[in-house]
Amino acid sequence: MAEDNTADLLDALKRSEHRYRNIFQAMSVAFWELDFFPVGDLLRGVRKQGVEDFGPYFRKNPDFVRQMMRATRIVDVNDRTVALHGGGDKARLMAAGLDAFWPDASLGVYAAAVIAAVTGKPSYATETRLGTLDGGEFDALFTASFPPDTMNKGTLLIGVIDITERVRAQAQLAQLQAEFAHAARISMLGELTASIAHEVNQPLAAIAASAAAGQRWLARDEPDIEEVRTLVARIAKDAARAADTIGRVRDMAMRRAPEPAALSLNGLVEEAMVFLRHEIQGHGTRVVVDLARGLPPVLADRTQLQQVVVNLAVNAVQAMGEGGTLTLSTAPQDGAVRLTVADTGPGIPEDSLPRLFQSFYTTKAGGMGMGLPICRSILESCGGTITAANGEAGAVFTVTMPAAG
Amino acid sequence: MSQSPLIAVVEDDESLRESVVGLVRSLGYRASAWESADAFLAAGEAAACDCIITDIQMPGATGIDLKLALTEAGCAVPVIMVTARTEAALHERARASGAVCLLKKPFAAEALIECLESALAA
Repeated sequence: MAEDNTADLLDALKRSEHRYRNIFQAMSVAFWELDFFPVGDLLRGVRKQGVEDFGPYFRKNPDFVRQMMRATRIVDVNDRTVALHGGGDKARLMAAGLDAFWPDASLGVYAAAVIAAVTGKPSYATETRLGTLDGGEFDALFTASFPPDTMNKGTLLIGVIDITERVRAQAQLAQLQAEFAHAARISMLGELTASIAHEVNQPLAAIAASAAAGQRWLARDEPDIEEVRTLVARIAKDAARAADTIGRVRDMAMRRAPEPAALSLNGLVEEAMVFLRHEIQGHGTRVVVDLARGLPPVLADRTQLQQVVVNLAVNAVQAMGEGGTLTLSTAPQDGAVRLTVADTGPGIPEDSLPRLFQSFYTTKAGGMGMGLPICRSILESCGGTITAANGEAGAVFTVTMPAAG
Repeated sequence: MSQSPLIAVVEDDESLRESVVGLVRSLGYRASAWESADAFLAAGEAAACDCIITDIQMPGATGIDLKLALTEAGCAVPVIMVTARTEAALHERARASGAVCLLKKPFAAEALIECLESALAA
């Protein structure tokens, strides 16, 4: 009876081992079976020197991490590993050793895997860059698992998935979003051309009038220097104001990588109202600005967040047509800051609400359908949110952003 | 009358309003400044003025509304209008309302002076 049982167990074990080998070979994941045992001796040596915390020690001694790698023996690799890392040559790959496939920049990943193993974690996974025999590098999803039963023998399993395509697609997506955000700003600036021209013309007209007045005071038999002094100061102020407007437009029109900084949301709302003064006036919109005092700053790119505020305000002004009231309010909210943009327009049709933030969905004649999706992607990129609803009088957009820590 | 002519400047943009007032004063005229047509009309100062320089687009009543209100009240003080808007229809309405001059921002100071002098001479 006992012998039968043993035979059955052995048989089951063989089948299990066979199944494991099949999976090991057939998976599209690159697997490395490693013998970690010699690394244990190295770690014990370090511990004897009085090192208790391996993390800082590994960071300070990259050569030691390399040493651990060289001590790690490759037991076996699957076909995918040979194809991915070894250019199809298994013998060369096994001979090169683990060390050859780890770029310096990824040393920390190996170190973290070692720490995870010795602290009894069941596995460790991260995204990193790994190398190939011919000296190339690729983006990899790295997983190390430390099953207790094999760890006792000192073996562990590493899985590597080539995520080059995904990383490339993400980069392309980010670039596409940046281009769309830029296109939307340009389109918005186009809509606001009359307002912008007005904002520049106003100080220019003032400068021309002040200069002419100055000439007249100077041309008198007894030039009035005091009058001229006042006028020159006014000219300087108006010139600065025109330059300010041009600077804002240029920032909006420029394409550059976002630069997050700690910003005052209140300040941004006030600036947006200056930017839109003419647009608001042209529509006869009444503006109510209700800003909470002592709000913490938020972390965002100034131009991008400005785009969000301007976009929401322009939408509201346009939705109301002639007249109406635009209300912008800010408030603190559990470690976050909230901005509400409310109008007294017709509101948002109920069936449009779920699709409002989808690209190319628009309810405006001649609208591009990119304004709100871009607002959302800008806000999400800095940990914020945006929601739309119908309030008592019209549409209400609520933006929340985490307070900058 | 020994006093120099009084010019009302109606303009919502503070900086431009102050500059035009400065220009008017440099010409030797007296000036009064108003930030809206509504405020100017409410003050009932129109009859005391010799000329009015007004922006068209302002919160509340526009410069055109101002001129029409004056005409209705039988006040014939010459009105010079200033605008940054370029729409032909708006310019047409401004002229039709009886403005003596229509200036586009940014206007040359000389053009405003010319308008002012011819309005006062009339």
